[in-house]
Amino acid sequence: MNAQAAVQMTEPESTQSESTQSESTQSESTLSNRLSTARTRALFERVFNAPMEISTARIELFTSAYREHADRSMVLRRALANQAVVEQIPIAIHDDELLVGGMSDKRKAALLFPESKSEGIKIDSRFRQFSKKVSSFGLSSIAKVAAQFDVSLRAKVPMVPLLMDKIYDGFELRGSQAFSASEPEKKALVRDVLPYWKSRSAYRTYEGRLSKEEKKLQRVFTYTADPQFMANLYKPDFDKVMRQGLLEAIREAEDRGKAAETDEARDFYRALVISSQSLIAYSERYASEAERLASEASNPERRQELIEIAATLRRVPAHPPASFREALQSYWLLYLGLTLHDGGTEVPFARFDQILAPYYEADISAGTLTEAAARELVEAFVVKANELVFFLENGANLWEDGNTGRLTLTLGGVDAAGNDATTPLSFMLLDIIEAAPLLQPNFAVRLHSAAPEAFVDRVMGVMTGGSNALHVFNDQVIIKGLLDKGYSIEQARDYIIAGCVQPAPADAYGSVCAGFVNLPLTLEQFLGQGQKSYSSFESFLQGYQEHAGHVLEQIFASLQKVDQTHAELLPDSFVSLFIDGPMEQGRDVKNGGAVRNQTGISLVGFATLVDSLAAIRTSVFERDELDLPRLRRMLAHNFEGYEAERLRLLNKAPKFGNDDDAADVLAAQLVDFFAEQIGTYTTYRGGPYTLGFHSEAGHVIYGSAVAASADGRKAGEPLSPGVGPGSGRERNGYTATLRSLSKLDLAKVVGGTSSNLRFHPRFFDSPSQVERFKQLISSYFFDLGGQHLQINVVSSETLRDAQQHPQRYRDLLVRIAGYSARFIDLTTSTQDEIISRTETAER
Amino acid sequence: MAELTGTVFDIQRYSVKDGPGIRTVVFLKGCPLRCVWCENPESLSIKPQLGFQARDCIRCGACAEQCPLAALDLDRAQRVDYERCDDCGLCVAPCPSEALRMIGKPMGVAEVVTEVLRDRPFYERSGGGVTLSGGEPTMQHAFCLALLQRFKREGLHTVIETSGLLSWERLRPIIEHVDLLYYDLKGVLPRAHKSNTGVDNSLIQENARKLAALGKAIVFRLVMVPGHNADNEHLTELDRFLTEVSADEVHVLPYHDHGEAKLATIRPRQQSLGLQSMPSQEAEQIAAKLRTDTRRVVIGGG
Repeated sequence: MNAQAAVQMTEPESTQSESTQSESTQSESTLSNRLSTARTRALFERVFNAPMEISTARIELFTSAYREHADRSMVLRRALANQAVVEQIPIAIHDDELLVGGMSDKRKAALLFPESKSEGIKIDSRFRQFSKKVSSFGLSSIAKVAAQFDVSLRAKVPMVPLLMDKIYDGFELRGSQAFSASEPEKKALVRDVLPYWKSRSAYRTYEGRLSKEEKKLQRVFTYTADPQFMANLYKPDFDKVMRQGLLEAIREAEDRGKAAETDEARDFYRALVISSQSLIAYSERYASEAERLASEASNPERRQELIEIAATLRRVPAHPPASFREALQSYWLLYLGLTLHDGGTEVPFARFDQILAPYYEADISAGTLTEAAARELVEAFVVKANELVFFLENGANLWEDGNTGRLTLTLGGVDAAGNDATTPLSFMLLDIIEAAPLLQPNFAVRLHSAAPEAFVDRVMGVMTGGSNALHVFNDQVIIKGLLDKGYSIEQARDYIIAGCVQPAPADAYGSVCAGFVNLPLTLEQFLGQGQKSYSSFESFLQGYQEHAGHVLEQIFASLQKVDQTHAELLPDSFVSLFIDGPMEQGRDVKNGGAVRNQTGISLVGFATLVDSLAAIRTSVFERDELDLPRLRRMLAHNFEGYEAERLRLLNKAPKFGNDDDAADVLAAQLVDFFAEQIGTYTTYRGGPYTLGFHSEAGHVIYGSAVAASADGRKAGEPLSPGVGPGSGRERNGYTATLRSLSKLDLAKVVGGTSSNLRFHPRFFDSPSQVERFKQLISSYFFDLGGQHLQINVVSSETLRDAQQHPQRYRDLLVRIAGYSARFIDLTTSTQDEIISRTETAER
Repeated sequence: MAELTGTVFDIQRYSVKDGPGIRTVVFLKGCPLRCVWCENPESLSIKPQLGFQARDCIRCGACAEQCPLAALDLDRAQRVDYERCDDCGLCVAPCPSEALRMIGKPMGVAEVVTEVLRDRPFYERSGGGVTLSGGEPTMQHAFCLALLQRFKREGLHTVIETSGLLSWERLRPIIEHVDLLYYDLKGVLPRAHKSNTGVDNSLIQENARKLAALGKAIVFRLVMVPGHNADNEHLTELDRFLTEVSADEVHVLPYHDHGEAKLATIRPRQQSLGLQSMPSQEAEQIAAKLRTDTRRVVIGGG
């Protein structure tokens, strides 16, 4: 399996999480790759086999400069601190590189950003996993109420292993996200850095500002605003900055600074000049290093290459690129600049195929670039992206299970004018995806009904080919959703995918993923509130919605405080270059300088909520099989002693994802409810909030903190992933699942949705099957209004697990000549035969 | 007039190997053949019947409380005493785990059509439609015909999968509403056919010839069962027959023991064949023998 798969597309079958990593990819010493040249093949091997390391260089430089400039305004103070970083951080040009630049001299170095949050950085604590009483989390409320009916409950609350308790691992002990650090670096961290930030971090500051009630929210809501996590999910306008060139931006900022009327504006322009100059200096340092290496190079070819590298670096990003190669190098350095300045783990690559196509086409038609040379450069770029690793704070590393960042590159779609935007580079990237198991970037493909057939066919080929490396998005629905949020048609059409699946329109600042809500926990809280009885499901639902509305109100109040704190403590001038507005307004993005602003939140466990409510309606209000006190008792007992009742809730009540209106209409109502609720709030910087249903691996983590639920799920089990049905709950085939999804008004969920289908590799055994898959997606997107789709072509390993745990794989279909069958219904000998064939296909 | 109803044992959406495009397959219960290798043994009887999946049973006993005939016994490995059971199905609703289920349910024509039309956008994009399968769908002749008429009125592409074992008078009206026939040949040697399926194959062959003469679009489907209908003698005769009926598309369906796992879940009717699934190389050899310049032969469907 392609490791990129992992980034967020696949569901590791054993945990039902949305994201995993093929760990073997990283541990194997040699990876097979079919990149186009010996150079890029070698670069790829070296990058993949390099260890993940912590580099404390950044935070040591930053902290000391930050302390030194304590008397400056924050925007200037941070620019000066970042200047120290960018101008002094150790650099390295690695053997055979064509494009250069990195986060430090270490090949795969994660920098630390404790000014945002220092709590999650642990060095020496040990991996521990506890079993805790569920009552220590959300269940306490249910258990308390249930105990009034059944005193034995106090002693009987079940034990479940809680993933949340893994979060105190030291960073060398974190499984697939372990980082090594040298002893002196660890010492510096513990002695100088972490103590300084402990009380000064943005997180600590806004936490101090939260009310008691808002603090309690942390059970149902996870803030992702901190740069270690994902603050930078917006659309950076690389094209504009590249074309202008940093020197020109500096001149503009200087001129505006002279004319500025406030200290705030003058400091902002000064900060903009400093941060732009420092990135030029960073490029110059690399140029000098290239020249030094050239003078020492014994191989004349390499010497020539290094001379060209130096010449490129002397020109960009200071000047507009004059060639494809300069454009790629400029793009890469600007990307690093954003990541170095604001620490985002998930800065998007944006529309690579759009941004670079003019340079590519000009060079090709001028005869100064061959297709093969361009391909090698693009491969070098993509391999470079795999050097980027991020230290996710403890907890976040589990949420993003298996991959430290989702650096999303958007392909295809329409341009701002509404014309198809596919370029030769779109095709080239698709070829590269298939050539190597890439962890980065995360490839997001935009589809629209007039996309060229050849492009769509190629996308389908890659999707079904088993690499699980890309996912697809529907322009129509996303553009409509963004228009409804008040964006112009051009801004809407020019959206990118940021982070995992979140659409980010042009010209707008703010994270499209500022936090996650544990939706089933809100129902659990509501159930636990007391003994009020309800005469109808409608009044019960209304009661729940009032509770959920109250939770959202508190969440948005607390997010105001988060954004306010970020504005005060983490203003950023360099990021402000990449968004329309700050240059004109003289104010940085965090303080509202952007023309447009936005913030997205995602609700996790949507189908678990829908199914639970549908089961309550069926069992309590329609069939009279249960009353609420009995249900509470069963849930508090984790269904122990109530297995038949659990199975009835599971099997005899409607479930979302089966084209069954009994569940789907309720789901659609809830989408409308949440979208309307969220629509009534405005962000700190004055933009709309957007609603999302996506969860990465978060539905597994959140599930671990949720008691048994009325849909028949046991305590601690994963919640439903993304916007899709709960694991194993869909039983009528994928057209039924997609029809269920299409009953939701997905344009209202423009904060992003994720939906995942899995297929056995043999499903795509002929071109006609790939064609049918294309038609499935076309129908779902262009006839039914779907938003997102990713598929998982299932491996033999998964099938083995399915043999062991058939109850988790009730939806896994295999096709046998002439008919289809559920894998778990086959005899062992047929299963073995399919597994062995799968292994053959994987070899 | 009461609406025509039939017994449907499954409606399978998103089928991609039972005719062109994306399809819904409607499985009608009942079959006049008794193939020893039957892969859908639960489809043979035309009546709804009780099925039991031991894997899912939690031994709660809710079923036994409901059974008026005392046909359910938690101490039996297979729970159901089929000697007593009359397939009334009263035990199914209380079973929380769905270990007990009714195979086949009465459905009206309109109900089936509504279900099938749910996926219309997928059919239209993909050139798909609806496939009637079984059992032998023409066993429920009036129901089958009524369904096909309604499907055609809705403009759907129709496929029927049939053994061809019915009189020409009854087959003729059916095929008028069928765009493509999947015609199953269980073999062409009369003696073997009789012993493998319990029925004579002369009507099947005669119907095939008539259909060919009419120029109907036909795909011949050959279930290949080692030791039963897949040796050289069979293949030579098959080849001859396929030439005679000008077959231009043939699907070789290598035997799978899928049906074997089902035997334990239904009323005992059929002996286990005890055969392993046919290895793919063997299927490929068979396909190669039957392939000609004018005859496309593929393994599996689609």
